[in-house]
Amino acid sequence: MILEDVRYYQPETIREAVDAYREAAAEGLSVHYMGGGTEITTHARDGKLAPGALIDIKRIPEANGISRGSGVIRFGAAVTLTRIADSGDVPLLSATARRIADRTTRNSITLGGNIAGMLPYREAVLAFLIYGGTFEVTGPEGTRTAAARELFDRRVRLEDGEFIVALSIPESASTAPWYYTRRERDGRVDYPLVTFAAGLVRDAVAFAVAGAFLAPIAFSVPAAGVTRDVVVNELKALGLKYRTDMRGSAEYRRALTERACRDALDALGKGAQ
Amino acid sequence: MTRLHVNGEEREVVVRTGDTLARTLRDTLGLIGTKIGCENGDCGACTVLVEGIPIKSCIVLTLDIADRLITTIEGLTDTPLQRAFVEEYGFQCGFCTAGQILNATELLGRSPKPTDDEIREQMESNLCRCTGYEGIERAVKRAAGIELPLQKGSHT
Repeated sequence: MILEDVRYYQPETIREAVDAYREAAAEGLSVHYMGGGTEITTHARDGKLAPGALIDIKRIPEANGISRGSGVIRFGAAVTLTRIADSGDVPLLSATARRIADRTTRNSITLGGNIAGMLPYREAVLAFLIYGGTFEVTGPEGTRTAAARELFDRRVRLEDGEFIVALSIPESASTAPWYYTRRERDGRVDYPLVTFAAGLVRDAVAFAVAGAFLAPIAFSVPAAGVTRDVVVNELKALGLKYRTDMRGSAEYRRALTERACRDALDALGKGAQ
Repeated sequence: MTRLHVNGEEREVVVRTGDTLARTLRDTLGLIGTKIGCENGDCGACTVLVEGIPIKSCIVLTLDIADRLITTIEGLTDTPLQRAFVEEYGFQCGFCTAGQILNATELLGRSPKPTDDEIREQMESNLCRCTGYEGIERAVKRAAGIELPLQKGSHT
């Protein structure tokens, strides 16, 4: 038994989930919403996490499915990364999902779980940051929608008791030009040194990076006259510190990231300017 | 009591909320063909099928899987893929074999003639501590009816 004396809820509606949260929190339990549970079980095994209650959101209809309507593509937070990778609805999102963990693990990892998890990579959020996606979150105070770039500041900024129900992305993202690369030290199935994504969004080039820093970041530059130096200087102006760990030094991550800036512009047809 | 559907049988078991499926299969149901290697979702030795989809049972709670169809290696009997693993020496110590076979079973069900990329993407979920990957790949291809190149040292 990895988790000791944990209370396990399987709500079938948003209301039930919020009620479960209220009930468990009122008893002083440490409450966690759960998607696939892969990170919760591994962190519990390592002793990094000892939840008192888990609320599994996978049976909630609003947190499931991929749908189109009103100019957006909506992804339920409990949709697995395998399904997103295979769907191809948003090529950049699918490409990103396909490189997280391995396929069997992606059969369990959910979109919301990856983005709201404890690990610093949270790569599934990159496409939502680039294309101006939105989060649909709910909690004791009701449901709200927030822009991805506002709600996600290094991590998802949720209020007490809230969880992600779904994420949406403009339908135009399904055909917009994009660039993606992921660099690892020890082969494909590994945490990234750098995951770098870019896309043309109206009159700007939007970039999002994971792995290089303590958390994913995003920024945009005007498309007109953009060069590698412009992008690198914009990145430097953010004042972020590159990570050093057993997989790679800060200097190596910086070199990979700046190389990706150039490759992204080439791929997006902006390299010759 | 919790009801589990394992290998075509309905089983009633006592499950604690924190039990992982791998532990329940092995310790409660005695289905020890499911191996526990890393217990961290990395090695794939604990792979089982849930509703036909391979998952790593060491990082999934048993209660999460209740009422869904579970297939362990004990639920497969003399399948073409199992025979191919024997014929192509797709195992050495055998510890990872159950997980390898269950994962490849889903691949061949979804893609009967998988490409090299599909095989790589699927099978990179499972580690072989004996590094017998070549035999495993040949076994998957043999089961799929994909022509195999002669191995080095083979006789014609």
